[in-house]
Order: sequence, then structure tokens, then C-alpha cells
Amino acid sequence: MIILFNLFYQFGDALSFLLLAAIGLAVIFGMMKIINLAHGEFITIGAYGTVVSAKILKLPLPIAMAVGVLVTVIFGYILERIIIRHLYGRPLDSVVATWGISLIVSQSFLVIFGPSFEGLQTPLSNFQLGAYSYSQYRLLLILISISILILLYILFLKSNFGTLARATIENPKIASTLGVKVDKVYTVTFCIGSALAGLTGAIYAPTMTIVPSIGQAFIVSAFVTVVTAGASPFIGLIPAASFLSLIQTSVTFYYHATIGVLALLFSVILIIRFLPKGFSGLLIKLKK
Amino acid sequence: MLKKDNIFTISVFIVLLIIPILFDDFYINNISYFMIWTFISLGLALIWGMGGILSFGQTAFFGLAGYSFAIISINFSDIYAVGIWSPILALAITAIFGAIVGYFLFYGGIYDVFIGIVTLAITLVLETFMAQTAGPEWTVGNARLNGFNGMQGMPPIGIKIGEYKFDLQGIGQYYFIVFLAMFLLWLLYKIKKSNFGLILLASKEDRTRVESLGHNVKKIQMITFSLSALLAGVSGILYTNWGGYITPSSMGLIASAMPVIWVAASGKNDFFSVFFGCILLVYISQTLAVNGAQYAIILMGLILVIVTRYFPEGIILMLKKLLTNKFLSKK
Amino acid sequence: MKNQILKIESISAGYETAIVVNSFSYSINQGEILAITGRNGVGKTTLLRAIMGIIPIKSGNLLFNDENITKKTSSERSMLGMSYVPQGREIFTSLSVEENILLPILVRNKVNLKDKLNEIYKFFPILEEKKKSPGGSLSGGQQQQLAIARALVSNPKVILLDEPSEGIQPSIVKFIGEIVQKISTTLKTTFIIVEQNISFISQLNTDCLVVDKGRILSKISSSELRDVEKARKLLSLES
Repeated sequence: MIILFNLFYQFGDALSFLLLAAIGLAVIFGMMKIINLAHGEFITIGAYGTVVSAKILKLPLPIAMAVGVLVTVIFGYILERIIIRHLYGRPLDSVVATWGISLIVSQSFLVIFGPSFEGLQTPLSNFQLGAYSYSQYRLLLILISISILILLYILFLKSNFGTLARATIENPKIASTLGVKVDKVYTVTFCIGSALAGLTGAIYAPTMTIVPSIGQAFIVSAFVTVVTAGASPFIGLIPAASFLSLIQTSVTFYYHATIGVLALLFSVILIIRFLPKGFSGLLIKLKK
Repeated sequence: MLKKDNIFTISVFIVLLIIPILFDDFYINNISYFMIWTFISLGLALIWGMGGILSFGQTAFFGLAGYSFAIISINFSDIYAVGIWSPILALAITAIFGAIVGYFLFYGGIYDVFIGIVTLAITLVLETFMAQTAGPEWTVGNARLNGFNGMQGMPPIGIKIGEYKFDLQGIGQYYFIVFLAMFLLWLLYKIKKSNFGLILLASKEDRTRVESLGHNVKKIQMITFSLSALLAGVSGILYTNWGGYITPSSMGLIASAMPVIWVAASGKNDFFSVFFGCILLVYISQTLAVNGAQYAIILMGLILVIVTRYFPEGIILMLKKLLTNKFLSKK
Repeated sequence: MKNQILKIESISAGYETAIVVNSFSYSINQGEILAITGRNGVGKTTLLRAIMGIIPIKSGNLLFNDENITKKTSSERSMLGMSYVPQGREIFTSLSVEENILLPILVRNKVNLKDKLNEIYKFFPILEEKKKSPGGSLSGGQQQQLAIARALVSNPKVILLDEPSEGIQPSIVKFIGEIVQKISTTLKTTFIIVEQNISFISQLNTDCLVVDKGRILSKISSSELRDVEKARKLLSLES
């Protein structure tokens, strides 16, 4: 029983990490076919925004997290207006440009905040079950990641904005002839993606050492999840994240964490080889 | 025959050939170092500029070649002419690995931005793996992998014939790199003009159409990918030989961004521009890094963003065209 | 004097390599139907795309209600009262039929969605039956009706129709012709229809321009078009 709960906890923890790491990237990629290589730095901004407002401005943690998200959205908005929007329709160039942004941001954080920053205490307490100790906060993160997915599902499938957004993904030219301001839809989408990345940084900030490269802890997980999810991340994200976290958890369970990460990366390379359209491609095929 | 297109190439090489007469060893060694990076950049220009395939993981091949060279030459340092055949063997390993990865990518139907992500994953796998080999159990024969601190103490490229000993260092290394660059630029130029190159260029525009004409595009892309890996390997081996060390961070996220920056900023469609631009940009980074590596990286990031936004063709190529039109267009 | 809703003043348009529409001029009155015909590749579709703003107009002016809209985006043109039914329908396959129809309303000032939908469903009863199905599951004829419905829902003054009869069975073609005529008379909507199907054109009360190499070759009056056989002859001679 305890072993089972322990496995569930490890799996849920890995799953929510992959989902939260990938979600902002998935929204932007799924909608605009842009891989945002600065995604990790968006997470960094969210984390620093939270820690700085909690430590220096002495804001209570939930408000500090909101500030972290807000700062990330503003950054994403400016970036979309001055750079990204000029690169729509040039997917490789947009990837390259966001890589440049990633370097600028991560190194600027290093210059401004130094190699490390005093972190926060993990909120809530731990509890004991058998020989193991569990963090309530991490259990909360599992809940949060699932709620975010449900909210996104409602936003993109049930709301008016969702209808506009799905029409724009499918055929931006025709959407425009019907009066949809495609540019605006893209800007809003990019901001939603930024907000999600910022949120990931904000809620993981209290659990991690705050360093300028904090985003890099997420970026590999984010990429592998989005890539294995395939061309329609909204469909493929959950199966991809579940599969990958299953592999990572079981390998980590038997060996150790680095080998777990290696197994993760290696399985992605294999999945892509045999399912080049990822899990979403597989699901769409099965449906037909 | 002197084509006007070659004037820049020829003048740059003339300058490179006479530099050792004017400068001392310190500068020669530095310029060698700048030029070492041109090979990985040329490889990326081949696969990206000509093939339209953007690989983020060229550093994987750089690192693989460097480590292979180090491991082989440390293990077989007693065997005759190890300084000649160990780099060649390391290159062969790299090219084969490149072909295998290329097979996975192109025969697996992976395209566009996914290639970038998968290649990036490969280089990060290698970095992660090598970084955790600090323990004494991680040895290959006599060679300790040494984790994050990297490997050192490998014998240099070179040969010993009787009493006479030649190591690829200093001025010899400098001229070796210059002549190798000349040869490879010429070879790449030939490839570009060949049937192979034309098919590759055409497949960038419309892959299915070229396939429907009966060409095996996947095979051509795989071979090109392997060639670009080979070129990255040349840089890796020369780098390892130059400094006498190789570390996992040469395959990390920041390291793998660099070739993309150099090639994009210089002009991915022109090999000479990439060669020249790469030297210039490495020089700039190096100079700036004196005040802290982060400033150099910020500048490189800025260059990359500005170039993709405003000069998608690349700055060096643009300048080259501008100069050609201004001074050389009249007969 | 009738109100000239759309004035095309010697516009040229095309793609990177070629100019396809070559100083094309024509004015169309409110409530009129104008048919444009010609062989494949003479620039008919390009003309409609340029009028709608999907491709830029390289020279010349386009006036809508005496307002110069040459530089406006297609979204802005749509908001002013232009609608477009593209060749091949291009309905949103992943959206439901109802979402397809409602899309143009979502970006405009709120109207009563229910009334609007009922108005549309009166013209196209089949769409009400299928309203929850994904657009991609409809047949060609149904998709064409959906595309027209989607263009109509924003109360446009001008609707551009590109090859509405293409790939559709004759009974539906006839039905669409009747609907277009009905919309034109009851709502005073202006239509520009690019079409190669003569029997479809002759069903409408319209003049027909014959286009070649991006220019007007000749104009056939609505009375000449009444006689399908005669019209066919005229057109085959011209083109």
C-alpha cells in the first residue's frame, strides 16, 4: 500500500513536472507552429519575479507568484510585438531568434542577480507515511497541473476565443477574410503561453535553488514532451507526459536520477523514430 | 581564371598566409583557435543553407570526435603513428554516428523544427552523460572520462620518424588549418555545383517533387548530414588537439547555440561568408569574454535576434554582395 | 443614379514572379450580380483574392462605398462589409458547422445569435440538421452551402464567390443559384461570381465579363445569357 502510494507520488510528481514544463511551449507550438527556445527563460522570469517580490518587496507568496506571472506576460507581449510577429511563416527563423533571446535573458540574469539567489521555503509541511516523507506542496502541484489542463481545454474548446483560435490555426487567411484579427489572436496566444511558462516558474520557485539557469531544468523536459506529443499537442500532451514520466519514474526507481533523465531523452529519440507524428499522430490514426 | 566571386576568398587567404610573417606565436595560436571553429560552421552551412535542415546538435559530433580522439590516443599512445591514425579513426566514428543519426531522422520521416529538437536532445544526452562520469569507475581502457572537468593529457596530433618528431602545434598547426580550410571550401564549392548539390538544393524547395523525379532524397540528406557531422568532428579534434582538453560543456546548450549564431549571422547560403564570419565572430566573443563570458554571450544572442529579424540573409553575405555590386559589377 | 458599391480602378496584382491581374477596371452597383468567366489561369481567382485583400494590390485603387480600401487588410475589409467564399470552400474542418457560421459574428458587435442563426438556417435547412457535426464531415455541396452561410452571416454588402459550382452535383448547383438570386433580391447584396459553369451563370440575372490574361476581353449582357446555347457559343468563341 505504502509502496503503491510512493509510486503514485513519484509518478504524479514527474507527470506534473513534465506537464507544467511543457504546457506554455505546447500552447505556442500547437497554435503558431513556433518552438519557443526561450521557453526556459520565460520560466526563469516567472521564478525570479516570484522570489524577488517575495524576498525584496515582502509580498505574500500567492501575490508574489501572481507578480511573477504578470512580469512574464509583459515580457512575452513585448517580445511578440517587436520580434516574433515578424517571423510568422518562417518557423526555422523564429526558432533561431528565440534561441538568441534565450541566451540574452539567461546571461542577463547572471549579470544582474549573480550566480545564485536566496531561495524560498517550500510552503506547507511534509507528512510521513511509513519510511517515506512526502511534501504536501508537491501533491498540490499535481492538482494544479491537472486543473490547468482542464482550464485550457475549456478555453480552447468551449470559449469564443477558442473558436477564433482554432479557426486561426487551421486557416489564418480565411479566418482573416471573415473579420478575425489574426495578429491579435496570435498575440493573445503568445501571452497565454508566456503566462503558463511564468506560472510554472512561479509555483516551482519555492521548491528549487534559484539560479539563472533554472529554466534549463525545465527546457529539456518541455521539449521532449512537446515533441513526443506531436503536431497537435492538445491531444498528445497527456499521453506523452504520462508515458515519459512512467519511463523516468521506473528507471529512476531502479537506478538513479541521471540515468532517469538519460532514459527520458533516449526514449524520445526512439519514439520520434517510430512515431514521427508523436502521440497525437498515433491517436488521430487510431480514431480513423 | 579569376572569377570576381572568388576575389574575397583569395584575398582573405592571402592575408591568412602572410599573417605568420607579421605576428608572433601568441597571435598565430589565437587565429588558429578562431579558424578551428569554421569547420563546424561550414558543416552547419552545408546541412542548413544547402539542405534546409536545421540541426541544433552539431556540437554532439564535435564532442564525440573530440572525446574519441582523446580516448583512442591516450589508450594507444605507444603504438606507432597514433598521432596520425587516431584523429582519422575518430573522424570515421563521427561520420558513422552522423550517418546513423541521419538515418533515424530522414528515414523516420522527421522534418522541420523537430530535427532541431531531436538533434538538440542528442547533444544534451551526450553532455548529461559525460558530465556524470566523474567517478573512477568511468574509464575506457587507460582513459579516465573525468566527468565535468573533462579529459586532458592526450598526446597531440603528429608523427615521430626516428629522431625527427613533428607535433601539430604552433605555426605548423596554423598552416595545416589554413590549407585544410582552403581544401574544404573548394570541396564544398564543388559539391554545391555537382548534381548531388543541385538535388539537395532542390529538395529544400520541394522535397516531394524531387522524390517524384526519382531521386533518393532521404539518402542524399543522410549523406549530407553525415558530411556535416564529419566537419563538426574536424573542429572537435582540432579543438582537443589545440588546447589539450575536451569537456562536456562543449556539447551543452550554450555551446550548441554558437554554430547556429555564427552561420546565421554570416550568411548560411555562402560558404566563404560562413568561414570569414565565423572567424570574426569567434574573435569578437573571445575579446569580449575577457570582461566576463556572459557579456560575449549576450552580444551573440543580440546579433542572432537582430540578424534573423532584419538581415535574414546574413550580414557578411549581404556586405559581400554589396561590395561586389559596387566595385566589381562593371566589366 | 445608382450607388456604385465597389470601384475597381486599374488594379494589378499577382505573385512574386508574375503579374496575373493587369490594370483591371470595373465598377459594380449595389444589389447587382456580376459574373466573371474565362479559361483556367487567366487571373479570375487572383482578382478576387486581391479584392478581398488576401494578396496585395500592386498598383491601382480599390474603392468600397467611395472609401479607398487598397491598403486595408482582409480582416478590415470584412468588417466594412465584404465577404469571400473561396474556391474549394475552405471551411474550417475542425470547427463544428455552427461554429463555422458563428465565427464572423464573434468578432463583431453582439447581435442576437439565435435570430441570426435561424435566419441563416431558413436559407440552408441542411445546415441546421448538421449543426453539431464537424465541418470536415460534410459533403461538397453541404460545405459550399456552409461557406456561403458563413459569408452571409455578417450582413455583407458585397459577397465574392469563387467557383461555387465546382465539384458539386447539378441539383445542388441549381439550389445554390436560386439562393444567390434570392439573397440578391431580398437583401440587396452585391455578388461578384467567378464561374466557368455557363448554365449556373445563365440562371442568374447578371452580366458576364469574359477575362483573359488579367484583362476584360468582352462583356455579355444578361439577355444574351438567357439562351444557354447561344451564350456557350459566344463564350467559346471568345475564349
